[in-house]
Amino acid sequence: MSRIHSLKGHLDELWSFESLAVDLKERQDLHLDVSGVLSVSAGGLKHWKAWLDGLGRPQLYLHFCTPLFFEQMNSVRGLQYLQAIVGSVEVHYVCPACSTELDYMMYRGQNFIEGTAEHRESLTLPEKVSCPSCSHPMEPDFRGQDYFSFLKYRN
Amino acid sequence: MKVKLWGVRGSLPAAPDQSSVLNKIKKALNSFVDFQKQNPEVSVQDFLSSSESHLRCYGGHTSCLEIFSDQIQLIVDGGSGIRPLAEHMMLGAAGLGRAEIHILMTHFHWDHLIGLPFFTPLFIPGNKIHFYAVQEDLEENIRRMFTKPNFPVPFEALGSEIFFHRLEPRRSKKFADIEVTPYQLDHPDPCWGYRFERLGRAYAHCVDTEGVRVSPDDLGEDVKLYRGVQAMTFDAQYSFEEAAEKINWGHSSAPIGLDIAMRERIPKVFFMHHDPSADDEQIQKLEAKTREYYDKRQLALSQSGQQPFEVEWCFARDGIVFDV
Ligand SMILES: [Zn+2]
Ligand SMILES: [Zn+2]
Ligand SMILES: [Zn+2]
Repeated sequence: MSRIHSLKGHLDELWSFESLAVDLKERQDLHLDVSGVLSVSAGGLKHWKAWLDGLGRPQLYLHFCTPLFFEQMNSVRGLQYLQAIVGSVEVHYVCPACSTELDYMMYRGQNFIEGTAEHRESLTLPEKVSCPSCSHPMEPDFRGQDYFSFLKYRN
Repeated sequence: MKVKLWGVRGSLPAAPDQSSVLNKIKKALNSFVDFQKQNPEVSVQDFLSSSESHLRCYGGHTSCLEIFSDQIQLIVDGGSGIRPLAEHMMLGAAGLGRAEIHILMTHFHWDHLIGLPFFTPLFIPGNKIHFYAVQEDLEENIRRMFTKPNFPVPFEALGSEIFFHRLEPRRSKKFADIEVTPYQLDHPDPCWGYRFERLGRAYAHCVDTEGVRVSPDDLGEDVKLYRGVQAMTFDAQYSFEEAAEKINWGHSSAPIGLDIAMRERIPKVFFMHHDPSADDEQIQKLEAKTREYYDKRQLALSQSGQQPFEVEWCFARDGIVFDV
Protein backbone atom coordinates (compact mmCIF):
# COMPACT_ATOMS: atom_id res chain seq x y z
CA MET A 1 0.00 0.00 0.00
CA SER A 2 1.26 3.46 -0.83
CA ARG A 3 1.78 6.22 1.66
CA ILE A 4 -1.09 7.34 3.90
CA HIS A 5 -1.64 11.09 4.08
CA SER A 6 -3.22 12.57 7.17
CA LEU A 7 -6.23 14.79 6.82
CA LYS A 8 -6.81 16.95 9.89
CA GLY A 9 -8.97 19.77 11.17
CA HIS A 10 -12.17 21.30 9.82
CA LEU A 11 -12.86 20.18 6.29
CA ASP A 12 -14.83 23.10 4.95
CA GLU A 13 -14.67 25.13 1.75
CA LEU A 14 -11.60 26.95 3.10
CA TRP A 15 -9.46 23.87 3.80
CA SER A 16 -6.16 23.80 1.95
CA PHE A 17 -5.74 20.41 0.30
CA GLU A 18 -2.55 21.62 -1.30
CA SER A 19 -0.91 21.45 2.11
CA LEU A 20 -1.09 17.64 1.90
CA ALA A 21 1.47 17.79 -0.92
CA VAL A 22 0.06 14.64 -2.53
CA ASP A 23 2.13 13.48 -5.47
CA LEU A 24 0.54 10.44 -7.07
CA LYS A 25 1.87 8.34 -9.87
CA GLU A 26 -0.56 7.34 -12.55
CA ARG A 27 -3.28 4.90 -11.41
CA GLN A 28 -2.01 5.06 -7.87
CA ASP A 29 -4.67 4.97 -5.16
CA LEU A 30 -4.98 7.72 -2.60
CA HIS A 31 -5.01 6.68 1.06
CA LEU A 32 -6.11 9.17 3.68
CA ASP A 33 -6.06 8.83 7.45
CA VAL A 34 -9.10 10.85 8.53
CA SER A 35 -8.89 10.21 12.27
CA GLY A 36 -7.88 13.84 12.83
CA VAL A 37 -10.84 15.32 10.96
CA LEU A 38 -12.86 17.45 13.38
CA SER A 39 -15.76 18.40 11.12
CA VAL A 40 -16.86 18.05 7.50
CA SER A 41 -19.15 20.42 5.63
CA ALA A 42 -21.05 20.09 2.36
CA GLY A 43 -18.97 22.91 0.88
CA GLY A 44 -15.86 21.07 2.11
CA LEU A 45 -16.96 17.93 0.28
CA LYS A 46 -17.38 19.86 -2.98
CA HIS A 47 -13.95 21.34 -2.46
CA TRP A 48 -12.53 17.86 -1.68
CA LYS A 49 -14.09 16.39 -4.84
CA ALA A 50 -12.68 19.21 -6.99
CA TRP A 51 -9.22 18.48 -5.56
CA LEU A 52 -9.61 14.76 -6.38
CA ASP A 53 -10.68 15.68 -9.92
CA GLY A 54 -7.52 17.77 -10.18
CA LEU A 55 -5.44 14.77 -9.15
CA GLY A 56 -6.96 12.70 -11.95
CA ARG A 57 -9.61 11.00 -9.79
CA PRO A 58 -7.55 8.39 -7.97
CA GLN A 59 -9.40 5.68 -6.03
CA LEU A 60 -9.83 7.13 -2.57
CA TYR A 61 -9.45 5.02 0.58
CA LEU A 62 -10.44 6.42 3.96
CA HIS A 63 -8.80 4.98 7.05
CA PHE A 64 -9.60 5.27 10.76
CA CYS A 65 -12.95 7.02 10.29
CA THR A 66 -14.32 8.24 13.62
CA PRO A 67 -18.05 7.97 14.42
CA LEU A 68 -18.45 11.75 14.22
CA PHE A 69 -16.72 11.93 10.85
CA PHE A 70 -18.75 9.00 9.61
CA GLU A 71 -22.11 10.34 10.75
CA GLN A 72 -21.41 13.68 9.13
CA MET A 73 -20.46 11.97 5.88
CA ASN A 74 -23.59 9.81 6.06
CA SER A 75 -25.88 12.82 6.51
CA VAL A 76 -25.05 13.96 2.95
CA ARG A 77 -24.00 10.58 1.50
CA GLY A 78 -20.49 11.93 1.35
CA LEU A 79 -18.82 8.52 0.94
CA GLN A 80 -20.79 7.85 -2.23
CA TYR A 81 -20.19 11.40 -3.40
CA LEU A 82 -16.42 10.93 -3.18
CA GLN A 83 -16.66 7.32 -4.39
CA ALA A 84 -14.56 6.45 -1.38
CA ILE A 85 -13.70 2.99 -0.13
CA VAL A 86 -13.71 2.76 3.64
CA GLY A 87 -10.57 1.05 4.92
CA SER A 88 -11.49 1.18 8.58
CA VAL A 89 -14.16 2.73 10.74
CA GLU A 90 -14.74 2.94 14.46
CA VAL A 91 -17.97 1.86 16.07
CA HIS A 92 -19.01 3.24 19.41
CA TYR A 93 -20.19 1.11 22.34
CA VAL A 94 -21.66 2.21 25.65
CA CYS A 95 -21.99 0.19 28.86
CA PRO A 96 -25.59 0.34 30.13
CA ALA A 97 -24.40 -0.47 33.67
CA CYS A 98 -21.59 2.03 34.24
CA SER A 99 -21.73 4.28 31.11
CA THR A 100 -18.17 3.45 30.10
CA GLU A 101 -17.64 4.18 26.40
CA LEU A 102 -15.51 2.23 23.99
CA ASP A 103 -14.54 2.68 20.34
CA TYR A 104 -13.95 -0.47 18.38
CA MET A 105 -12.10 -0.30 15.05
CA MET A 106 -13.57 -2.34 12.21
CA TYR A 107 -11.44 -3.19 9.19
CA ARG A 108 -12.35 -3.75 5.56
CA GLY A 109 -11.86 -7.36 4.57
CA GLN A 110 -11.87 -8.42 8.18
CA ASN A 111 -15.13 -7.05 9.58
CA PHE A 112 -16.89 -5.77 6.47
CA ILE A 113 -16.71 -5.64 2.72
CA GLU A 114 -18.80 -3.49 0.42
CA GLY A 115 -21.03 -5.12 -2.21
CA THR A 116 -19.93 -5.21 -5.84
CA ALA A 117 -21.22 -6.80 -9.02
CA GLU A 118 -19.29 -9.95 -8.03
CA HIS A 119 -20.17 -10.31 -4.37
CA ARG A 120 -22.73 -9.20 -1.82
CA GLU A 121 -21.83 -6.82 0.94
CA SER A 122 -21.05 -8.35 4.30
CA LEU A 123 -20.74 -7.07 7.83
CA THR A 124 -19.60 -8.90 10.95
CA LEU A 125 -20.03 -6.91 14.09
CA PRO A 126 -18.22 -8.09 17.22
CA GLU A 127 -20.40 -10.77 18.83
CA LYS A 128 -20.01 -9.59 22.36
CA VAL A 129 -18.23 -6.54 23.65
CA SER A 130 -17.63 -6.63 27.38
CA CYS A 131 -17.21 -3.51 29.43
CA PRO A 132 -13.55 -3.01 30.35
CA SER A 133 -14.62 -1.53 33.71
CA CYS A 134 -17.42 -3.81 34.90
CA SER A 135 -17.54 -6.68 32.34
CA HIS A 136 -21.22 -6.02 31.63
CA PRO A 137 -22.12 -6.57 27.92
CA MET A 138 -21.89 -3.23 26.11
CA GLU A 139 -24.50 -1.86 23.71
CA PRO A 140 -23.81 -0.47 20.23
CA ASP A 141 -24.34 3.30 19.98
CA PHE A 142 -25.02 3.34 16.24
CA ARG A 143 -27.82 2.26 13.96
CA GLY A 144 -26.25 -0.57 11.98
CA GLN A 145 -28.36 -0.14 8.82
CA ASP A 146 -27.70 3.58 8.54
CA TYR A 147 -24.14 3.56 9.76
CA PHE A 148 -23.09 0.89 7.31
CA SER A 149 -25.37 1.94 4.45
CA PHE A 150 -22.23 2.71 2.41
CA LEU A 151 -21.63 -1.03 2.02
CA LYS A 152 -24.50 -1.24 -0.45
CA TYR A 153 -23.30 1.57 -2.62
CA ARG A 154 -19.94 0.59 -3.99
CA ASN A 155 -19.51 2.53 -7.22
CA MET B 1 -38.82 45.50 6.57
CA LYS B 2 -40.97 42.43 6.06
CA VAL B 3 -40.84 39.67 3.48
CA LYS B 4 -43.71 37.51 2.27
CA LEU B 5 -43.07 34.45 0.14
CA TRP B 6 -45.97 34.04 -2.30
CA GLY B 7 -44.43 31.18 -4.25
CA VAL B 8 -41.69 28.81 -3.07
CA ARG B 9 -41.94 26.02 -5.65
CA GLY B 10 -39.28 25.64 -8.32
CA SER B 11 -39.43 25.01 -12.05
CA LEU B 12 -43.18 24.35 -12.43
CA PRO B 13 -46.27 24.94 -10.31
CA ALA B 14 -47.21 21.75 -8.45
CA ALA B 15 -50.67 21.19 -6.99
CA PRO B 16 -51.25 18.18 -4.72
CA ASP B 17 -53.35 15.47 -6.36
CA GLN B 18 -56.23 13.55 -4.78
CA SER B 19 -54.11 10.64 -3.58
CA SER B 20 -51.66 12.87 -1.74
CA VAL B 21 -54.52 14.79 -0.08
CA LEU B 22 -56.24 11.53 0.90
CA ASN B 23 -52.95 10.21 2.22
CA LYS B 24 -52.55 13.31 4.36
CA ILE B 25 -56.09 12.98 5.71
CA LYS B 26 -55.60 9.30 6.45
CA LYS B 27 -52.42 9.96 8.38
CA ALA B 28 -54.03 12.80 10.27
CA LEU B 29 -57.11 10.75 11.21
CA ASN B 30 -54.97 7.82 12.34
CA SER B 31 -52.85 9.99 14.53
CA PHE B 32 -55.96 11.76 15.86
CA VAL B 33 -57.30 8.39 17.01
CA ASP B 34 -54.00 7.67 18.81
CA PHE B 35 -53.92 11.15 20.22
CA GLN B 36 -57.47 10.82 21.52
CA LYS B 37 -56.67 7.56 23.28
CA GLN B 38 -54.10 9.40 25.37
CA ASN B 39 -56.08 12.62 25.73
CA PRO B 40 -59.83 11.76 25.66
CA GLU B 41 -60.83 15.38 26.24
CA VAL B 42 -58.90 16.70 23.30
CA SER B 43 -60.50 19.02 20.75
CA VAL B 44 -59.87 18.87 17.03
CA GLN B 45 -58.19 22.27 17.26
CA ASP B 46 -55.80 21.05 20.00
CA PHE B 47 -54.87 18.14 17.81
CA LEU B 48 -54.32 20.32 14.76
CA SER B 49 -52.05 22.69 16.62
CA SER B 50 -50.06 19.83 18.16
CA SER B 51 -49.48 17.86 14.99
CA GLU B 52 -48.84 20.43 12.33
CA SER B 53 -46.20 18.16 10.83
CA HIS B 54 -48.77 15.58 9.61
CA LEU B 55 -50.55 18.25 7.69
CA ARG B 56 -47.69 20.33 6.40
CA CYS B 57 -48.24 21.81 2.95
CA TYR B 58 -45.37 23.62 1.30
CA GLY B 59 -47.54 24.96 -1.49
CA GLY B 60 -47.23 24.79 -5.22
CA HIS B 61 -46.78 28.33 -6.57
CA THR B 62 -43.56 29.26 -8.32
CA SER B 63 -41.26 32.15 -7.38
CA CYS B 64 -42.77 35.40 -6.28
CA LEU B 65 -42.05 37.38 -3.16
CA GLU B 66 -42.89 40.69 -1.66
CA ILE B 67 -40.56 42.88 0.39
CA PHE B 68 -42.20 45.81 2.11
CA SER B 69 -41.83 48.63 4.62
CA ASP B 70 -44.40 51.29 5.55
CA GLN B 71 -43.05 53.35 2.65
CA ILE B 72 -42.67 50.92 -0.23
CA GLN B 73 -43.61 47.54 -1.62
CA LEU B 74 -41.20 45.63 -3.88
CA ILE B 75 -42.06 42.45 -5.76
CA VAL B 76 -39.47 39.92 -6.89
CA ASP B 77 -40.33 37.79 -9.93
CA GLY B 78 -43.63 36.94 -11.56
CA GLY B 79 -43.99 33.20 -10.97
CA SER B 80 -47.46 31.77 -10.41
CA GLY B 81 -47.33 33.11 -6.82
CA ILE B 82 -47.93 36.59 -8.21
CA ARG B 83 -51.57 35.68 -8.93
CA PRO B 84 -52.66 35.45 -5.26
CA LEU B 85 -50.54 38.55 -4.60
CA ALA B 86 -52.48 40.32 -7.36
CA GLU B 87 -55.78 39.35 -5.74
CA HIS B 88 -54.58 40.85 -2.49
CA MET B 89 -53.34 44.03 -4.21
CA MET B 90 -56.56 44.50 -6.17
CA LEU B 91 -58.31 45.21 -2.86
CA GLY B 92 -56.20 48.35 -2.51
CA ALA B 93 -54.87 51.13 -4.76
CA ALA B 94 -54.07 48.74 -7.63
CA GLY B 95 -57.78 47.91 -7.98
CA LEU B 96 -58.56 51.61 -8.34
CA GLY B 97 -55.80 52.25 -10.87
CA ARG B 98 -53.82 54.37 -8.44
CA ALA B 99 -50.85 52.12 -7.72
CA GLU B 100 -47.18 52.49 -8.57
CA ILE B 101 -45.77 48.96 -8.59
CA HIS B 102 -42.14 47.81 -8.70
CA ILE B 103 -41.22 44.34 -9.94
CA LEU B 104 -37.59 43.17 -9.82
CA MET B 105 -36.76 40.23 -12.06
CA THR B 106 -34.00 37.75 -11.17
CA HIS B 107 -34.03 36.05 -14.61
CA PHE B 108 -36.46 34.89 -17.27
CA HIS B 109 -36.97 31.18 -16.81
CA TRP B 110 -40.65 30.30 -17.18
CA ASP B 111 -41.22 29.60 -13.50
CA HIS B 112 -40.33 33.23 -12.73
CA LEU B 113 -42.52 34.70 -15.49
CA ILE B 114 -45.52 32.46 -15.85
CA GLY B 115 -47.78 34.38 -13.45
CA LEU B 116 -47.34 37.78 -15.12
CA PRO B 117 -50.27 37.45 -17.55
CA PHE B 118 -52.45 36.93 -14.46
CA PHE B 119 -51.16 39.94 -12.59
CA THR B 120 -54.42 41.89 -12.77
CA PRO B 121 -52.99 45.35 -11.90
CA LEU B 122 -51.33 45.29 -15.35
CA PHE B 123 -54.77 45.52 -16.96
CA ILE B 124 -56.06 48.44 -14.90
CA PRO B 125 -55.71 51.91 -16.48
CA GLY B 126 -54.05 54.39 -14.17
CA ASN B 127 -51.60 51.92 -12.59
CA LYS B 128 -47.91 52.53 -13.24
CA ILE B 129 -45.86 49.35 -13.34
CA HIS B 130 -42.07 49.35 -13.30
CA PHE B 131 -39.99 46.32 -14.22
CA TYR B 132 -36.30 46.14 -13.24
CA ALA B 133 -33.51 43.75 -14.15
CA VAL B 134 -29.79 43.63 -14.77
CA GLN B 135 -30.31 41.75 -18.06
CA GLU B 136 -30.43 43.85 -21.23
CA ASP B 137 -33.33 41.92 -22.72
CA LEU B 138 -35.77 42.71 -19.89
CA GLU B 139 -38.37 44.45 -22.07
CA GLU B 140 -38.30 41.82 -24.80
CA ASN B 141 -38.79 39.04 -22.24
CA ILE B 142 -41.76 40.70 -20.55
CA ARG B 143 -43.44 41.66 -23.84
CA ARG B 144 -43.14 38.09 -25.09
CA MET B 145 -45.45 36.94 -22.29
CA PHE B 146 -48.29 38.90 -23.91
CA THR B 147 -48.23 37.61 -27.47
CA LYS B 148 -50.77 35.63 -29.43
CA PRO B 149 -51.34 32.68 -29.63
CA ASN B 150 -49.79 32.17 -26.16
CA PHE B 151 -51.92 34.82 -24.51
CA PRO B 152 -54.96 36.58 -25.96
CA VAL B 153 -54.22 40.12 -24.74
CA PRO B 154 -51.29 41.73 -26.56
CA PHE B 155 -48.81 43.83 -24.59
CA GLU B 156 -49.97 47.03 -26.32
CA ALA B 157 -53.53 46.47 -25.06
CA LEU B 158 -52.58 46.32 -21.37
CA GLY B 159 -54.33 49.18 -19.56
CA SER B 160 -51.55 50.20 -17.19
CA GLU B 161 -48.53 52.29 -18.01
CA ILE B 162 -45.43 50.07 -18.09
CA PHE B 163 -41.80 51.12 -17.65
CA PHE B 164 -38.56 49.17 -17.96
CA HIS B 165 -35.40 49.94 -16.02
CA ARG B 166 -31.97 48.39 -16.18
CA LEU B 167 -30.07 47.83 -12.97
CA GLU B 168 -26.32 48.05 -12.74
CA PRO B 169 -24.63 44.87 -11.50
CA ARG B 170 -23.54 45.23 -7.85
CA ARG B 171 -24.69 48.88 -7.74
CA SER B 172 -27.39 49.77 -5.28
CA LYS B 173 -30.61 51.55 -6.14
CA LYS B 174 -32.80 53.27 -3.61
CA PHE B 175 -36.55 52.57 -3.50
CA ALA B 176 -37.94 54.92 -0.80
CA ASP B 177 -36.34 53.60 2.40
CA ILE B 178 -35.13 50.27 0.93
CA GLU B 179 -31.82 49.97 -0.90
CA VAL B 180 -31.52 47.14 -3.41
CA THR B 181 -28.28 45.70 -4.85
CA PRO B 182 -28.11 42.90 -7.44
CA TYR B 183 -25.38 40.25 -7.21
CA GLN B 184 -24.80 37.39 -9.60
CA LEU B 185 -25.85 33.84 -8.70
CA ASP B 186 -24.71 30.55 -10.27
CA HIS B 187 -27.30 29.66 -12.90
CA PRO B 188 -27.08 28.45 -16.50
CA ASP B 189 -28.81 31.59 -17.81
CA PRO B 190 -27.61 34.65 -15.89
CA CYS B 191 -29.62 35.12 -12.71
CA TRP B 192 -29.27 37.93 -10.21
CA GLY B 193 -29.93 37.69 -6.50
CA TYR B 194 -30.86 40.78 -4.53
CA ARG B 195 -29.70 42.27 -1.27
CA PHE B 196 -32.31 44.48 0.40
CA GLU B 197 -31.22 46.87 3.10
CA ARG B 198 -33.19 49.17 5.35
CA LEU B 199 -32.00 51.00 8.45
CA GLY B 200 -28.91 48.82 8.81
CA ARG B 201 -30.80 45.53 8.50
CA ALA B 202 -30.47 43.42 5.40
CA TYR B 203 -32.02 40.45 3.63
CA ALA B 204 -30.56 38.41 0.74
CA HIS B 205 -32.64 36.60 -1.87
CA CYS B 206 -30.43 33.91 -3.42
CA VAL B 207 -32.67 31.98 -5.83
CA ASP B 208 -32.07 30.44 -8.44
CA THR B 209 -28.54 29.33 -7.73
CA GLU B 210 -26.49 26.17 -7.97
CA GLY B 211 -24.18 27.43 -5.24
CA VAL B 212 -21.11 26.45 -7.22
CA ARG B 213 -19.12 29.24 -5.61
CA VAL B 214 -19.10 28.80 -1.84
CA SER B 215 -15.80 30.19 -0.55
CA PRO B 216 -15.29 33.98 -0.37
CA ASP B 217 -12.42 33.64 -2.86
CA ASP B 218 -14.62 31.91 -5.40
CA LEU B 219 -17.52 34.30 -4.80
CA GLY B 220 -15.36 37.38 -5.28
CA GLU B 221 -17.45 40.56 -5.34
CA ASP B 222 -20.65 38.53 -5.01
CA VAL B 223 -19.81 37.51 -1.45
CA LYS B 224 -21.34 40.87 -0.46
CA LEU B 225 -24.76 39.43 -1.18
CA TYR B 226 -24.36 37.33 1.98
CA ARG B 227 -22.37 39.69 4.19
CA GLY B 228 -24.05 41.23 7.20
CA VAL B 229 -27.56 40.07 6.35
CA GLN B 230 -30.09 39.05 8.99
CA ALA B 231 -32.14 36.76 6.75
CA MET B 232 -31.70 34.84 3.53
CA THR B 233 -33.83 32.85 1.09
CA PHE B 234 -31.77 30.14 -0.63
CA ASP B 235 -32.29 27.62 -3.43
CA ALA B 236 -32.70 24.09 -2.02
CA GLN B 237 -34.39 22.28 -4.87
CA TYR B 238 -32.33 19.14 -4.35
CA SER B 239 -30.63 17.09 -1.68
CA PHE B 240 -26.84 17.46 -1.57
CA GLU B 241 -26.34 14.19 -3.42
CA GLU B 242 -28.99 14.98 -6.07
CA ALA B 243 -27.43 18.40 -6.69
CA ALA B 244 -24.05 16.69 -7.09
CA GLU B 245 -25.49 14.66 -9.97
CA LYS B 246 -27.32 17.57 -11.58
CA ILE B 247 -24.36 19.66 -12.61
CA ASN B 248 -25.35 22.81 -14.50
CA TRP B 249 -29.03 22.43 -13.67
CA GLY B 250 -28.68 25.63 -11.70
CA HIS B 251 -30.02 24.58 -8.31
CA SER B 252 -28.50 23.93 -4.94
CA SER B 253 -29.14 22.09 -1.68
CA ALA B 254 -29.84 23.21 1.86
CA PRO B 255 -26.49 22.02 3.35
CA ILE B 256 -24.65 24.43 1.04
CA GLY B 257 -26.95 27.27 2.13
CA LEU B 258 -26.32 26.37 5.77
CA ASP B 259 -22.55 26.36 5.23
CA ILE B 260 -22.75 29.89 3.86
CA ALA B 261 -25.12 30.99 6.63
CA MET B 262 -22.87 29.58 9.38
CA ARG B 263 -19.76 31.17 7.93
CA GLU B 264 -21.36 34.55 7.20
CA ARG B 265 -23.35 34.47 10.46
CA ILE B 266 -26.79 34.75 8.88
CA PRO B 267 -29.25 34.02 11.70
CA LYS B 268 -32.35 33.17 9.68
CA VAL B 269 -32.64 31.12 6.48
CA PHE B 270 -35.66 30.03 4.42
CA PHE B 271 -35.09 27.35 1.82
CA MET B 272 -37.23 27.42 -1.31
CA HIS B 273 -37.52 26.52 -5.02
CA HIS B 274 -38.72 23.06 -3.96
CA ASP B 275 -38.62 20.38 -6.62
CA PRO B 276 -42.03 20.15 -8.37
CA SER B 277 -41.77 16.36 -8.43
CA ALA B 278 -41.43 16.17 -4.64
CA ASP B 279 -44.66 15.94 -2.63
CA ASP B 280 -45.03 17.39 0.88
CA GLU B 281 -43.83 14.17 2.46
CA GLN B 282 -40.69 14.10 0.37
CA ILE B 283 -39.90 17.75 1.08
CA GLN B 284 -40.44 17.03 4.76
CA LYS B 285 -37.99 14.12 4.55
CA LEU B 286 -35.44 16.36 2.87
CA GLU B 287 -35.94 18.87 5.65
CA ALA B 288 -35.34 16.12 8.25
CA LYS B 289 -32.19 14.97 6.45
CA THR B 290 -30.98 18.57 6.42
CA ARG B 291 -31.67 18.76 10.17
CA GLU B 292 -29.40 15.75 10.60
CA TYR B 293 -26.64 17.47 8.64
CA TYR B 294 -27.01 20.69 10.61
CA ASP B 295 -27.13 19.00 14.03
CA LYS B 296 -24.11 16.78 13.29
CA ARG B 297 -22.11 19.73 12.04
CA GLN B 298 -22.99 21.86 15.07
CA LEU B 299 -22.06 18.96 17.34
CA ALA B 300 -18.74 18.33 15.57
CA LEU B 301 -17.80 22.00 15.76
CA SER B 302 -18.69 22.39 19.40
CA GLN B 303 -16.94 19.14 20.38
CA SER B 304 -13.77 20.49 18.84
CA GLY B 305 -13.97 23.54 21.08
CA GLN B 306 -15.42 25.96 18.53
CA GLN B 307 -18.56 27.96 19.08
CA PRO B 308 -20.60 27.30 15.95
CA PHE B 309 -22.94 30.02 14.77
CA GLU B 310 -26.54 28.92 15.24
CA VAL B 311 -28.94 29.37 12.35
CA GLU B 312 -32.71 29.32 12.61
CA TRP B 313 -33.89 27.76 9.36
CA CYS B 314 -36.76 25.91 7.69
CA PHE B 315 -38.04 24.80 4.33
CA ALA B 316 -40.42 27.61 3.43
CA ARG B 317 -44.05 27.27 2.42
CA ASP B 318 -46.23 29.57 0.34
CA GLY B 319 -47.53 32.47 2.37
CA ILE B 320 -44.78 32.63 5.02
CA VAL B 321 -44.08 36.15 6.29
CA PHE B 322 -40.95 37.12 8.23
CA ASP B 323 -39.42 40.23 9.71
CA VAL B 324 -35.95 41.40 8.87
ZN1 LIG C 1 -19.54 -1.06 32.57
ZN1 LIG D 1 -36.55 28.88 -11.03
ZN1 LIG E 1 -33.96 29.46 -13.29
